[in-house]
Amino acid sequence: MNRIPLLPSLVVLTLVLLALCLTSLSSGVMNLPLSQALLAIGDHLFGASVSSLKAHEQAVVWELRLPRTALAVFAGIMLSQCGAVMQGLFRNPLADPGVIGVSSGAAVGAVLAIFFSPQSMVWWTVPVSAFSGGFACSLFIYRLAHSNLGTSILVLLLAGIAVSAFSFSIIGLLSYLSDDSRLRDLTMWQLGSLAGANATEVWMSAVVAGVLSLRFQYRASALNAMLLGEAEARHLGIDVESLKRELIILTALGVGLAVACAGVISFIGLVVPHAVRTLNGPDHRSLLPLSALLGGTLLLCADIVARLAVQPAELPVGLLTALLGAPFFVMLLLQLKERA
Amino acid sequence: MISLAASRAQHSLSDHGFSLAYARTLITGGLSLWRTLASALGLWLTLSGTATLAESTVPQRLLSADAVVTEILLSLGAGDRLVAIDAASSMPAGRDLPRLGYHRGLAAEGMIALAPDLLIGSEQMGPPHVLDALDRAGVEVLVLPYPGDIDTLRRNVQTIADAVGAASGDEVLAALSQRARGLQAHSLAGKTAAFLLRGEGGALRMAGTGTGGGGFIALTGADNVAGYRGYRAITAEGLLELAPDVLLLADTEGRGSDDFLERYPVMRFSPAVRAGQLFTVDSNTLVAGISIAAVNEAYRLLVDAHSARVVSP
Repeated sequence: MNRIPLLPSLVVLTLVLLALCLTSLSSGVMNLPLSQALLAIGDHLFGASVSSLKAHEQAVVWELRLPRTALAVFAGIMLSQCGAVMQGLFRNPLADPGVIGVSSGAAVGAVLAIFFSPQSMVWWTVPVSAFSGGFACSLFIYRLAHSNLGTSILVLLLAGIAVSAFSFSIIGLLSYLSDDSRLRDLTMWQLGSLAGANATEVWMSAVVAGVLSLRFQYRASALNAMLLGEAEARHLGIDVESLKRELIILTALGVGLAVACAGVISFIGLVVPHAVRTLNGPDHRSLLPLSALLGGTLLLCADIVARLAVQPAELPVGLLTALLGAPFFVMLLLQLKERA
Repeated sequence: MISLAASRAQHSLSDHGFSLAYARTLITGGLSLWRTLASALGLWLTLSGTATLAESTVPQRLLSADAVVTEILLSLGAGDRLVAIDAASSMPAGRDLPRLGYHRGLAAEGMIALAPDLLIGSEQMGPPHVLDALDRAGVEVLVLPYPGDIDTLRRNVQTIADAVGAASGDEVLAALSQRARGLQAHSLAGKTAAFLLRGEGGALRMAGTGTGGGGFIALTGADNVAGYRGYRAITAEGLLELAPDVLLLADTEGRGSDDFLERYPVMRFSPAVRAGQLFTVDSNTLVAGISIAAVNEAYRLLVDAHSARVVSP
């Protein structure tokens, strides 16, 4: 077993993420030098005027690149950690953050908003409705699975499948009834984008990503015990019911917010935790922080490529997460096969 | 989601190790590639930007985020001032411009980087935060109403001619008015028409009001048999029941109407086909509402419909 120890992994991933953040601030369709971009941010923070960038170039850095960079990192952190936690809680490697119905609920919320609200209000009704839909849907599934005897993981899983199937038929029905422009909006939303990041979204996801990381880390040992099985965890003195409730609510919050801010971003929540397990092992105490870093890194990578690939237009970032992430993951699998 | 329940696999992946070197090579390699791409483009932008500095208050660098706007600019002779166009716009053969992508999913930085003076598009252009960002970056944005009929098209021609300082606005408008009179003269008033889209496998959709097809029927003066908004699926049986006097088939690649009759032989019983009133319409002219080309297409169609009526009993 030559796993990479926690500390070097943390250091390397943090450095990579920082380097990517700097790349993200300095790269885009406009070629702005990194030092000037950083000075422009400093100017905005401290009210100075040191940077030699023109006003519209400063606006590009401060109003477009900085928010989407931050949102990419925080959304990546939320999605990958929630994925790791759901895989741990369900003891199922195919669980992704959507397993508790939050993604499909959010999709229905967004589709309803796109379909029923006037085009001029779509920019705020979609995130609000997506978040409410996702959160309500996962609470409903949790209530379904909860009884006097506790929460059944199996019922949770099956209820999630039922609710998703129902959601997709509603989405299908509304797409059938939609006119072409709404249909296009709907498709674009399902491909995800970070281009619309604004200050409110960035601050909210920063706070939620912080809370999630702290609470998940606090529950890491309990999650390790859950890997042995639910009964075993209970025998080890863990309050399994409160663990489930807390993790489900936090995941609904994190994924709901990520989906509301950026649309559907596939793959990160499913595969990042697996990549970390192959590198560093399944211990949640190291799995969670490393997943957060790798998730932020991968989503930011995808967003930078999204900006540069078809300029002056942009690709949807949700396409690229799988496009970049899947080959990386296949490479990991091939590497494993060689060693076996 | 379904496969989730079926899966009984364990976390077997986690029991193996792997070197981080691969990941590192991948990431640094990718990084340098992006940097090269970004700097190459920046150089090109600087070179092309300094060459065309605005000489007067007339906007010199134009962005069009709408197919009809692009067409109007070209017909006004302002095509050489266009810097980039949206995905649905088309340029004359041999000329092409950078594409801004779909007009409802524009990217702010990509447009600002082209150093435009003016962005013109329809009210469907967006998303709103991108237009706001352009406004703050000092780019003027002109939003026009969606041209669902010939009057709006005329007003849009006037607005654009004024905005870009084109002298030939009156000529284009006069030509449009002449066509409008031609449409009146050959009008299909009193007849009913259906406008059909042929999808994958020949599935049919019929255009209601508020669509390009519906607007096209209005140009011909006929009444639309579809009494709803948007496009809806329809079967051959439904079409026979509605029995429109004129059948219009949307056609993007000039494949004609033969395959329609092969696919739906029962349509030979419809009054429109029996009277030779089945026509194809170049629907490329309708991608962003009623365009100048769509008006010309409607005129061509009315002339064809008229001569077909004269020939057949």
